[in-house]
Amino acid sequence: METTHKQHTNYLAVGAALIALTILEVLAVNLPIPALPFLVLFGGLKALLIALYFMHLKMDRRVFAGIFAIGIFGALALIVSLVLIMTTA
Amino acid sequence: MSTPISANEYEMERDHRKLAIWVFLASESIFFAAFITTFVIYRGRSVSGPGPREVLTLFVPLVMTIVLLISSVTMVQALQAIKEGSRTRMWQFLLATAFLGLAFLGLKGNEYAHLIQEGVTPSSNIFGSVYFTVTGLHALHVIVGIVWILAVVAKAWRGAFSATNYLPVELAGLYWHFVDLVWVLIFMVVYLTEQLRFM
Repeated sequence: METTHKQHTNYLAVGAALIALTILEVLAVNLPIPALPFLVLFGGLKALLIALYFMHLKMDRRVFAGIFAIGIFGALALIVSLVLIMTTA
Repeated sequence: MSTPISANEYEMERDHRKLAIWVFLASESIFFAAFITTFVIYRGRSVSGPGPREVLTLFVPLVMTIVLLISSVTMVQALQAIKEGSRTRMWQFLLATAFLGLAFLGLKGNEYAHLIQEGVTPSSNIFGSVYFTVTGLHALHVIVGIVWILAVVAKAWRGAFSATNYLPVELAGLYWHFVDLVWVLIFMVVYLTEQLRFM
């Protein structure tokens, strides 16, 4: 059963945060700093906000989050495997 | 004539169908991971033709990202509207989402036209192949999302949904947000990392 939650998520605030993070990403690549860690951080945060609030993983049944996490784990394992195979070949 | 289902039966059907779409989205994560990683590995291995640094710009993809993020807000607002029992607001938000999706595709078409003009095609070099594969597959998912949303709008138009019966809106929304999430990663990997001056 879906967890009932009376207070509504402020979706406009989440959307604004996503756009702000996007602008921060663009600013980071134009600054004379090592921007890659910032890109990974901001990109990861954006993906997390979308999954938790827009896809309702924060409020929905834990099993859905678990299934998606298996997919993400599989994706990460595939990324590592492909990088290792293709860069050592 | 169909028999009305009980609240419990509706909850069970809802959970089963949501479970199915989450399994599908989990498999899609692995699918996109394969193509995005291949892009990262091969983008700089072209032996001829223009490379990513010469042809990729940031402005149009930035606008596309903002358009897609706003479309996610309108999609989730559509679901919220029907949960509150407002059918009119729901299909207005759904139509707005479909329109923003079409705007995204228009911008993508504009970007493709620019790249083709610059001599980058799927067969010009390795960069062209991996770039058009990753972004083309994503664009295909956007097209499927728009068709799905318009199908939900058509159903909504006939009064199919209510505050207690909105599963198709929720499922279309999950797919649409996933397409948005994948674009967030493509924007970072394909466009932003190409602009890096310092790693």
